[in-house]
Amino acid sequence: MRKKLFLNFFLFVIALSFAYLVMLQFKPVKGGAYFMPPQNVELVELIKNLEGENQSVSKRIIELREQIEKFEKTSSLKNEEIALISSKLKLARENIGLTEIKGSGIEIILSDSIKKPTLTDDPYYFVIHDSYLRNVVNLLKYYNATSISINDQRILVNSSITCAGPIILVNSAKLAPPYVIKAIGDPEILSKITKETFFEILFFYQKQFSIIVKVEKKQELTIPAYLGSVIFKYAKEIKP
Amino acid sequence: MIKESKNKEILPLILIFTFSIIVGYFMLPQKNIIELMKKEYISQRPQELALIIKDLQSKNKTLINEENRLSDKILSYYKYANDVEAQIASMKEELKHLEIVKGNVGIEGEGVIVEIMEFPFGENSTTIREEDLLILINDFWSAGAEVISINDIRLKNSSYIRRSGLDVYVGYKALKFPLTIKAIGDKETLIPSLEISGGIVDLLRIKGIQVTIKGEDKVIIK
Repeated sequence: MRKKLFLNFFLFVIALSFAYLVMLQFKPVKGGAYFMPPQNVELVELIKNLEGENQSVSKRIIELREQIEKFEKTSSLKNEEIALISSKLKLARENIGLTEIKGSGIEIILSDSIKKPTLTDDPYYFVIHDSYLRNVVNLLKYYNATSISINDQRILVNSSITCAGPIILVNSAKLAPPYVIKAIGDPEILSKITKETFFEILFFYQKQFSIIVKVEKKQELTIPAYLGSVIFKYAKEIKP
Repeated sequence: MIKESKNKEILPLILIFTFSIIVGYFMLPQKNIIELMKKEYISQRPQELALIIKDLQSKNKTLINEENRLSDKILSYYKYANDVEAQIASMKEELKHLEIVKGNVGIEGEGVIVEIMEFPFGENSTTIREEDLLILINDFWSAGAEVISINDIRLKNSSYIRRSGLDVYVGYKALKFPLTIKAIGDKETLIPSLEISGGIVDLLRIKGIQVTIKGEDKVIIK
């Protein structure tokens, strides 16, 4: 009798494991969210080509900026006025975000939950949303961050942070978790960000839903230069 | 006799067990593929992919323009390498361009003017949240706005937006309602992007907040 009970239990465990595996297979297809329509193949190919092209133009832009700075530096030695304009140009580029910046500050890491939501859970609380990144960037500026990056994408005033399905686009670059947000500024002042209500909510989600939230003071951080363009097509200087 | 009945009981179990192992062996790698799909574009809807392509194409155009501008600058630097005056003029031109981008020079161009009015008192009181303003400004940037000001304060790299009680702060300045957001950019793109059904403007209007959007041929931001 006991043996039969044991066998039934054994059978039950096997059926349960099997059901789990079946669930893994079919759950992501639910609602068609991860179903791959045939036209996606072509579209993804196009995206990959555009990404590759943009990356190589960005690299070229960095090289050209370096060449310009080198030229200005050499010319500065010849003439005082050139030296003065050259130093103004250097400062303007730093302020805009066109140069790499090193300094102390804080590093914030946000990542999706390590737990899978069960059927009764709301999956919303288990992932990092674009709104979280926007709030963090806004708060970092409030605490006097001078330069900010998310996964090495330099954040400028016009950097948009938008959600596109399971990924987040920052400066049109595709980012996936973990999101590493670096901010240069006074580490003591910047770390006060954790006292904000928004962070209290994040820490609550961390406790409740196991999302990852880490805030660490750093003595040395490197924030890369902005890789994009700084040309205005519509905005022109006011004509007198 | 007993041995035979035992075999009868165990045989189906062995079969199920073996079957489960085989299925499990094939399905576990599938889990990793699904995780990978979530991180890659392949798992997304064609509409989302089309938006990403549009965004990348527009970025591609501006990147190529910037590459050409920088190449021209280098050529001009080398051309006037022995002419100090011409070199100074070329560098001043570059400085002017950077000052415009930095936000130190007044600018004008086509764009939109958005006026927002909230009603914090009375029976049907409604207010705009800090989060709503962040989404709205983000929508402006993603629709291609080049420069934005709120109540004539130009947004710069260090600008933040906060709500404290009834006040909206942009930097240290407290702003009064109605909020007037000016944005320079292609008005034909900006207006439909803001008016999109289910977008932030739509949601604010549903909440009872008054939002008016006007396209303008000339918006001035100082």
